[in-house]
Amino acid sequence: MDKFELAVKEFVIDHLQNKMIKQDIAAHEIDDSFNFIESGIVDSMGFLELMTVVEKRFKIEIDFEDYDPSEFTYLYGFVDCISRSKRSGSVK
Amino acid sequence: MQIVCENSLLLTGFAQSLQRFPEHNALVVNGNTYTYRNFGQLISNMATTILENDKLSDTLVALLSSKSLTAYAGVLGILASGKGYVPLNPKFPVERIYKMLQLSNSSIIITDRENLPLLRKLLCLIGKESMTIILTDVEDADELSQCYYWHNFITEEMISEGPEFYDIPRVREDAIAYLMFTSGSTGTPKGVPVSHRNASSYLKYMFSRYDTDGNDRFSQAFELSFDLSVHDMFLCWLSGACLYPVPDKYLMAPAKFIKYNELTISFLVPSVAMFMSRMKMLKAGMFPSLHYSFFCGEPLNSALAEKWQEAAPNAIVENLYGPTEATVAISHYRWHREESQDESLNGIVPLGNIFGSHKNCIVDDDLKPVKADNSGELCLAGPQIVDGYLNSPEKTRANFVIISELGDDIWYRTGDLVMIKENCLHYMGRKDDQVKILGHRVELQEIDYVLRKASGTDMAISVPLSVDYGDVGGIAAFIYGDEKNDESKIMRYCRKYLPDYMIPQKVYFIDNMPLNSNGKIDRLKLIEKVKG
Repeated sequence: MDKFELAVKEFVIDHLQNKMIKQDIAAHEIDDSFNFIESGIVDSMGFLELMTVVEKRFKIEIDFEDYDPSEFTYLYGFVDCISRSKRSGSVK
Repeated sequence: MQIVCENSLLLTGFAQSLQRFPEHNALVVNGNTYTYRNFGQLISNMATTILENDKLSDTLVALLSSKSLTAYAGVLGILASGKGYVPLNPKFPVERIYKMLQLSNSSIIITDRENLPLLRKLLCLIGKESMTIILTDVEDADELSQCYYWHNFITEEMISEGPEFYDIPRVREDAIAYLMFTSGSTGTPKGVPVSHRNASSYLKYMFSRYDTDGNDRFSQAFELSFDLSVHDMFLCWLSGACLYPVPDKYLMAPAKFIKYNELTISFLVPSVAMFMSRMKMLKAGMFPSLHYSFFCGEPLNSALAEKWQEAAPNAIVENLYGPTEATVAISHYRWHREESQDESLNGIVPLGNIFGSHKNCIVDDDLKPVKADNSGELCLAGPQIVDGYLNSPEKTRANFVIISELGDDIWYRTGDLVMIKENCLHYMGRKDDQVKILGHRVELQEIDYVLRKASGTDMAISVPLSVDYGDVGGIAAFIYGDEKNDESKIMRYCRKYLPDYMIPQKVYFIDNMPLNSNGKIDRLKLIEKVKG
């Protein structure tokens, strides 16, 4: 992972950990294969919220056109999709 | 299968297609494809097994499975056995599933290996009442049989081989075809028994309106406990087409699923289209294979409808509307690029016109028809309207009424506020404390009930977040007291008794609960507080 990807990853982990505390969900270890939806931490609305905060923080516009939810609803996949979005020039 | 009964398209639709196109694909689920012939055999086996084990002559059979081969063979197998199906959503809390099972009074449950952990929890709640449990893909149930020796477990190898052509039983028109549940204000879901007459009337109308055929590929995005799934399954099999259940992992935004499978018919709640739009998946020309795109379950935003039309340029886009009590949908509006933006009110696509064989009227709070151009509550009468709620005469009396000025028809009060403008029905919002979350009808009072129990105070109330013409993004809870009142305990309790979409996303503790002139908690003031 490059510097940008690591920053996104750290930001997402922070966001998810805050959610776990608020919702009283037992702490999960968040590794690269951690699935946002299956873990029950975010639902589809929560995922949009995550997208929005990431876009705002990193000043990017995420484009998932070529992806399946199965490819971007786990930590590594999400960071990878964002990184590709950035490389393809979807920068605000 | 031989057609011996013409009165129910739920029963005869699949059978007709099996006779006409035995080698056509009927179902593609979990990577496996089933033709009408081999799927028909599974249905026949299921129906035979049910009848062989039907000791109590049940009228309803429960189905605890989600978008699997078991679920679809279960639905048709139950109907082919002459009984009605009760879909129990495995994603719901087990207490809620148990309540639904109790209300249905069914003593037969069909389930599968995937749901064995849930079944064990359910069996703990059921206690000593004897049930028959059909485990479609479980080879060994010895351990279960030892723990719960009073139940009759039917494993995979005990499922009987049915005849290749199964004689469809004659069913009464008013027999229950399926039992669905809507949110109830007292913490107990309301059972809506939909008859063969109701469902056949819907299918007959839809089949005549849309030119679907054996070449079509239908999406199936809804849980079987959501009545929009009835449209997907039965219109598909009546047309001789193939059903494509959308796996959970694609459900949030099934763009690639639609493209990859070249689906010709999509049916989604508007929220899913909104997610797809937000994720940049609705680009022009994205879905050339779609012929029809249906939306239902929530108000459809006109900008979103146009965006979908651009993404699916060959599709007819239709907005459907209908409560469960009116059997799937009862009005339609066809999106036309030139005029529909102008016809939309407040940016919401019209509901359009009520299906031809039904009557509708718009009434005020005193059940008097309103004057032209005025808004009021939509009431419906006709063959798709159910007779009432299951074992609930009080709730039935409140919602199924005679309107003295309009003769002796029984009218179902939808609780939806509408108005007619230029012969077109428009949605204006809800009359009561109901909201729609991701297409699910939710009584706020039901959440209030759980919050009161969870917090131990009567001053607990839920409000919708981001209200947009009846469509909401979630729930906030207000509870009297201070932070010492344990938020995590309340959330744990909610998760135990409520489905995901009803669980509050935010909990506020306040020591000054606003009251209205009747001394009741003022929900509107709290909504303002949330909006900040």
